[in-house]
Amino acid sequence: MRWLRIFICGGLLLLLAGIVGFFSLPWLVISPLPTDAEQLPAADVMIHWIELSRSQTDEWVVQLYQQGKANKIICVSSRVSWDVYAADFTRQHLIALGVPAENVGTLRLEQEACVAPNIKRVAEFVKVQGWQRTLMITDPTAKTSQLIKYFQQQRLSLFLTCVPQDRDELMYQWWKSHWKLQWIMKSAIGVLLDSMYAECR
Amino acid sequence: MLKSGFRRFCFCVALLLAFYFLLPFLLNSVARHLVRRDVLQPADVVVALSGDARCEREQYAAELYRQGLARKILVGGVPVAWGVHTGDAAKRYLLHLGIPADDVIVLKDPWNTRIEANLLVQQLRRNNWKSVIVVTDMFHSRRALYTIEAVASDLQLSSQPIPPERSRWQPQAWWKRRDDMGVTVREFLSWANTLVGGWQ
Repeated sequence: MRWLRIFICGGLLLLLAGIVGFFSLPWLVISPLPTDAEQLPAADVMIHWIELSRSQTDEWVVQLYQQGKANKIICVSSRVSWDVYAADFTRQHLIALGVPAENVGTLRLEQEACVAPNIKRVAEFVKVQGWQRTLMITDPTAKTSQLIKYFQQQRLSLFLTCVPQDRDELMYQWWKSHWKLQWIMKSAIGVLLDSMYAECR
Repeated sequence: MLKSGFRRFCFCVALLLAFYFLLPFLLNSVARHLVRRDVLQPADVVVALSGDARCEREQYAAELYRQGLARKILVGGVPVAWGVHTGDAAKRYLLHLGIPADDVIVLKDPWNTRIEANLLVQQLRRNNWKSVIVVTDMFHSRRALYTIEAVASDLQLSSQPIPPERSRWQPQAWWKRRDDMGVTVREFLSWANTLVGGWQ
């Protein structure tokens, strides 16, 4: 009887921990990035890292550009299909939204098991261009500590932001929506697994 | 009393050792069970399920089409950025491989396997097609077929995932590679979600 009681109590505690852990996921993976345009510093370049497709990031980038946060924008993405990079299309969109073509560039990334090698590539690219201060527009689940670490290794200043609505949108009833849950779970699993592999830390 | 405690201790140690040495076999076996490969036979259509940025699924579907195993190819895709739809990109890739445009059909916006199964079955019923070869990645093959069968059990389905020699994902020692680890863990979670009929 005593073992049965221990077994049931242990099971209930595990279940409770699982439920608490599950509902804590957004707070673990979604970073509190600054989203007030007034608070964001001016930089040499804006890196527009394309990740979340259901977002108004392009409009946010143009708004920051028009406020003079940087006069150069680099759209960054890996391949999304055969010979198709979202960065190329996003560049066209930014031009259509009024950014002069000569001020928008692209950087094509490799498809990697984790984001760390691509962060290194972006940091090295920024360094080679001679830019010191970078304003990066990313999604709210971006691995901010890794981004800051690799940019610091190159002795570069990095400021991060995301679309103001993205965080609220991701948090709002995330457990009811398949794509939100999938996105949050993917990020949470990514954080956990990256810590287990040297090349991803 | 002491003897019984020692015996229990030895039993626990033996159990832990057995678990430690058997775990790799167990994990390999579980991963192998994610794969379903059926006998290859002609069908009305071949579908390359969406979600492969390298388009290896589409490439293999094109090979099956060229072997005369299907008359049409279905591909899927979603919008990923302004002006980019991976379904249209997959179609362009098939045209680049020499497949006639009339023989390629795009399933729009299958955001997950269940939506894709529904879209696929609707397309099959609309054209009165009865049989389909399903091409996807190895790790995804059993769940994909399970999901499609749940929507339409009357259809003749054949699972033909990407051949093992071409697949980046390998079930053997999958936990040693970051890429395979991520994919496999996510697939286990997706299986759990599918079995309980959860999020769609």
